[in-house]
Amino acid sequence: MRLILSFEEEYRMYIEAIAAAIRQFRSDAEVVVLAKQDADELEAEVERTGTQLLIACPPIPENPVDEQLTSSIELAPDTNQPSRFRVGQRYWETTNPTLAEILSVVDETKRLSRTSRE
Amino acid sequence: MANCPCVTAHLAEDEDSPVTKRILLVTEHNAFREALAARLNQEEDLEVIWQAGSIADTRGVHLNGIDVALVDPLLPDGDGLELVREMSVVNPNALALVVLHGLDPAVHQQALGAGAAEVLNTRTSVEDVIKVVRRAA
Repeated sequence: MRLILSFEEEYRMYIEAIAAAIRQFRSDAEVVVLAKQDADELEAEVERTGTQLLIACPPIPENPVDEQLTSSIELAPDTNQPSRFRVGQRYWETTNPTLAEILSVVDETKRLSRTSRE
Repeated sequence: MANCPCVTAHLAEDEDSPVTKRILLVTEHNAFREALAARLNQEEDLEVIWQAGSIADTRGVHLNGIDVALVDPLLPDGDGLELVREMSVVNPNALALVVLHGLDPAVHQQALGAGAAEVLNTRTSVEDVIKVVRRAA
């Protein structure tokens, strides 16, 4: 499966660390880190590459980017603000999520993507 | 935090092995902290021996056993710079690194005044963090 992490430059340390951890613990995932793009650029990238999971600073453009994704995480840089998760049609919020919660979304996205292909 | 203060036994090293730098990692951001710890622990000569998401979480750590502390000053129960000050007294040989959000020169100076050897910014790449951590005595 393929996932994109799209963040603003000021959070480079955060996103590079999380990307490295996903690569380490989910070595079958193709992880791409992109500088923050506008909605059109992001949509084109998601469509072109068949990306299934997008992790980005809020807000993720609702349409049309979100429709093409299996899952998304709006990861709030402020630990007092909720991070918003979507996997398929399931939505939830968590304040200051753990790495395990992010990895579980990677796993669930992979499972859903596999199921939808079968 | 999903606190996982993890103390790891220090293994004897042969003469050819690089000396392992023991790292204290203090930041409230759970996912970032856990991810950075995992990345640092991938390096043969680096080992995160304690993670903390608050001042309270650092209470059990022996600052004398730390080579490098990577500290976010914005903690939920206090100022991380207090920990840097404490470290500079208890273990002056340790390298205290402060990670700031933003580029406020006044905060930068406060961090250096508290005893930080270097002030990093969240714009710093992880690879550059690793290079700075390796400078620890």
